[in-house]
Amino acid sequence: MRYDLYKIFFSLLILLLLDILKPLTYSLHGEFLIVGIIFVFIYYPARISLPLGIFFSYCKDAISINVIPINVIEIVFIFFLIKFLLYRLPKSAVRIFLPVIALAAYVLINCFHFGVLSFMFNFRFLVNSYILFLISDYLLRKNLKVENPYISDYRIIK
Amino acid sequence: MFSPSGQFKEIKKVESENLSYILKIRELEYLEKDNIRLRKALSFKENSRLNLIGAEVISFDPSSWRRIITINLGDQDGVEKGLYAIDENGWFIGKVVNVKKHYAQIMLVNDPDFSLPVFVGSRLMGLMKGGLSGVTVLYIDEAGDLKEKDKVWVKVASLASPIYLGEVSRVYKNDDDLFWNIKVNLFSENPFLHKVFLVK
Repeated sequence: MRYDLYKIFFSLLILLLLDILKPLTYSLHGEFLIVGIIFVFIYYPARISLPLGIFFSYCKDAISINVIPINVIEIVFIFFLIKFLLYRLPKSAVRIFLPVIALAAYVLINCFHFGVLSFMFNFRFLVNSYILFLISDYLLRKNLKVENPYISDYRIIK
Repeated sequence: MFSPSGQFKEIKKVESENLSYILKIRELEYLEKDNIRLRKALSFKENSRLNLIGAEVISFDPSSWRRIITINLGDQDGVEKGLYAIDENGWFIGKVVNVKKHYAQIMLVNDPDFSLPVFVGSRLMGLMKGGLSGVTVLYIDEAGDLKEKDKVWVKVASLASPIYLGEVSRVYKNDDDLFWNIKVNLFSENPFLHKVFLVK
């Protein structure tokens, strides 16, 4: 299947810009880019989703003041986590639980990396990001060509 | 004068002046109290000229776990590393950590990596440590005189009065700690941060 790569690329670019410009500043406890990357990991094959994910997380690391490329490491881990769970979770659970598990993994890694062990902050982040995922999922699936995740990657992983 | 950019400059100038007056009033109140107490003993101290640089926030660190903002002024505009940043009400919000030619980065007080020596109340000193779940002042020697609502502040050479960060909300000490810790309620909690002022 042909994928509109330029559409996926620009969608992720807009999400990265939203994270940088933060139109709602710190009143919103969520990140747009990670939500977009999780979407791409779920609905697109590895040969497209992983390079895009690594590219945009590298851009995020380049802009951040981080010493180590923590976002690239997180994204690779989340990629393998999503691909591992994608064919092991029941079909009905994928759309609901897979993003939550991926976001929870993201929160846990950041928690320990930055030493922020505040339950309220992390819970708010998880809830806000999941809501952002639901909105992005609806909007992106309308505008991008996406496949059923159970068909697209099976041959590639095999 | 009536062009949008001219009006914008005028607005920025007026906001800077307004904040200067607010800080000046606080400075005069502080000096009045000091003057009553030390009227015969101290020599008169000249008020130094307050130098504020107004800046716009142009971007934020993309990570939700960091509180670092980028402003539209840099080295060529007189910004230096270590300058304190305050908001429109004169409350401390952070310090400059990185300066380039045309922009600079400010670490806000609730960033997990933020730290700053501060004063608490009238005579105590401690180390303020930032955090997303709240800001704490560590290594307080004795908490005997300390009470809730005592001010947490920093001193700047160009200003006779202090710059306030917040007030004490809780004083506590763990069983195996040598020092007291203080939880602080920050005065500046505005999540919609678009303008800052740097104190020179």
